[in-house]
Amino acid sequence: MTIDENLQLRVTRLLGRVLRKAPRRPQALLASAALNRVLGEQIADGDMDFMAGKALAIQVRDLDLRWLIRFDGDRLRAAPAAAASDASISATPMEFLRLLARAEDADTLFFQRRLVIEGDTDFALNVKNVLDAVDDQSLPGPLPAALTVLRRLLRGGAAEAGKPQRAGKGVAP
Amino acid sequence: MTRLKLALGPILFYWPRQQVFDFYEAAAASPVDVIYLGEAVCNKRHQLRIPEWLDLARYLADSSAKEVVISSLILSESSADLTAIRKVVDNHGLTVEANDQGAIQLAMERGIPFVCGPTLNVYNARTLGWLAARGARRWVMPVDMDRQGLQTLLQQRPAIETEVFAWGKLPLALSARCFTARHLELTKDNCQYRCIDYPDGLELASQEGRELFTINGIQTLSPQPMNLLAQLPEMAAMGVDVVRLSPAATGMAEVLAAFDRTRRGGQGGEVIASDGVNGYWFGQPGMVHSPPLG
Amino acid sequence: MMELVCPAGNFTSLKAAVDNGADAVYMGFNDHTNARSFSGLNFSDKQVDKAIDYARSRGKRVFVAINTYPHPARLATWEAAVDRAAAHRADALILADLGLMAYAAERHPLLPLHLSVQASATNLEALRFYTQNFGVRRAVLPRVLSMKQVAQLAAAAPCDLEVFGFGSLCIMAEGRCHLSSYVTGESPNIAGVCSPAKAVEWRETPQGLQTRLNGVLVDHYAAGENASYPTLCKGRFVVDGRRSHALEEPTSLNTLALIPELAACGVKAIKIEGRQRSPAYVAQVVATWRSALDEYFIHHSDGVTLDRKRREWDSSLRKHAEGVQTTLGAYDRVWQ
Repeated sequence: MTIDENLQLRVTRLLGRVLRKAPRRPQALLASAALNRVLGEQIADGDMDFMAGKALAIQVRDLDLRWLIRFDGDRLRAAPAAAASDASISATPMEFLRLLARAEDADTLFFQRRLVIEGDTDFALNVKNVLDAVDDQSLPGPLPAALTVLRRLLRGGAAEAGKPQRAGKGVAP
Repeated sequence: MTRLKLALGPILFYWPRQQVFDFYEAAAASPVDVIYLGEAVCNKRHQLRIPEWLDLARYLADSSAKEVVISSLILSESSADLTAIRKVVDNHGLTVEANDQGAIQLAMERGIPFVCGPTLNVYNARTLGWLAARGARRWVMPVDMDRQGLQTLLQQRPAIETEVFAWGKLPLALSARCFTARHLELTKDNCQYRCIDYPDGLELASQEGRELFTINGIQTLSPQPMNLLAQLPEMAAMGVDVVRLSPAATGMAEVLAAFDRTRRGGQGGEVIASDGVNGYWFGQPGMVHSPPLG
Repeated sequence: MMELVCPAGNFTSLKAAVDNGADAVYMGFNDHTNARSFSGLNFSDKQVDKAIDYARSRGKRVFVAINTYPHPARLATWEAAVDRAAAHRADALILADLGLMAYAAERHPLLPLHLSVQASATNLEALRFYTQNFGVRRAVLPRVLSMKQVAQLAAAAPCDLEVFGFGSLCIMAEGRCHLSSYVTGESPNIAGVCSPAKAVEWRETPQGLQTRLNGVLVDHYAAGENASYPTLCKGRFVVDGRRSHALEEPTSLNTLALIPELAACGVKAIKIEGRQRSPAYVAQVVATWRSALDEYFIHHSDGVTLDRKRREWDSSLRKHAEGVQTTLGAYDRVWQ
């Protein structure tokens, strides 16, 4: 197994253990609080208004996690849920980490089929663009430094994992 | 409405020499008022070379009552292409349809009146006014502009004639790559002029069989004609001066007759198909067929 | 040295570009006045000020793209955008519409004008048209010219030339492509988008990932096959019974190998495409191109060193490409 695959497996197992142990409701509250903290400026500027009345699903593969994110005009709310969404973004835990750390570009992952978007494409694109605009240097506490470290760690793995499985050379499937 | 003029656009496809001569002989005797001719798509095409296009144009101008305009190349890449544009502009006497800013520059320098072709992207009154003040005597609306936009522009009473694409396969794009050659697994430099085998272009469809585009060498067009015959009265009322009918290999006589009848106040639609890819006029995607209800 | 001009879809991308070695960045306002008008992308007035301060304090230039064609009823919005860019003291405006150029040249004569690729100027006389009539200082060339044609043009051009070096590839002459509006009603000219997201549908099926544009099937990708933006020019279609990428395969442009030739013929600037991409793309692509340009112009590395390093650079760039492959596009005659 490659270094990256090894890391991926270990991260997935660790996350799985942590999440199975932690009760659901506090998880949801923590996640919502974190989102509102990180996106506070965007909310104030009206940049999240496009989410009003809609639900975005985040699906973490391998861990069978599905969260819905909603915006009520003032606050973002995240909770584990099976209800229908307007758009969904799916990836493995490692790919989500890469995205959060800005070690990898969302479209790059998308072209490589490592990120899957379904549903209202414009909605998903808007989410992507708003998140891309978050200045991680302005995040609270140790986050900026931690993200920088994470980015360096994950970028090497991404280059290796980024080799195409098949070159897509115009041959009809 | 009889003041509305009919124009034949330049032949966009590659036809054999005799077919071209026959076509213009028929055009000279038809109800059309304006004839555009010349090679606008691909400078490699040589059934008629530029001096022959110019001779044909002058002959038509002298022997018929038609207004004749010589069209320049839309997309120029090589120095040979620019030379071709220069030859067209330096034609001593004919109005030029300038299809790029290079042709406009040359026409302006020589003080020659010109028509602004549809690919010049004249989308608003300021651009139009600028060109009108410098020698443009007519402009052709970009094919993707809608009737609302045209109305707004015409309300500002442009000083020059307005022409609108009203029938024919819509020219949609041009590329450095030749798609006909690509389909036949040839390169552009060794294309063997095979686009001559497709007088109405090659059809391209989606994998579900939906007709999508027409391939014509480096040009991509709509799969079927746009047809704004039913909108002629509206166009005339708005202030449109000329409607362009883009030549197809067959059936042009019927198309011309239908448009001629309609502009004279008669009914014209029965002989030709009544629909077309008319979305653009109504502010819809170009591929939309019929006008929306209401 | 050639100026490295890099995309900024938002402030974080601008920082990524500047911090990784861009010489200049180009951006647009968050409305339809530029040709990458996507939801949630681009700059508000407040953000433009912050962006220009950041770039300028590090000695970098900022160009503002107002490169769509104003619709007849909305000319005032575009003119206001020109005024706003001038008020922000942008280093240059990137324009396509002739009328808007006349407006800018008259109202803000000291504000440098660059000709957008959307103006579709591909020959010497067209360049002379814009330099003589509007004082345009630089033109971005459409991606339809071969390397030889670029060199010929550069030898005689009345203004500086900027060429695309990397990123998504338009295969139709820019500014004159209606494929997107034919199917979706929107295209770069007026709406400022190609294949707008609201018309795009990605559907996972047992046969693979289907992409549709306003219901029209553009392609489907088998499991493991790399995807691309759902633009019509990169779809798989049927011509005369044969199914293929009739127009172009998913691919991106990469002209790293042409740096020596581009430099030799006098091209002034290399443009990286990608305002719609994330800061991660911008950081990695800009850093790679910065290394490449420095290696060639500053370190004057020999051919062997360049070739070896170029393999690493190309491999690092390739992963960001559509379809994960790159091409020289029209620069290479054989591609045409």
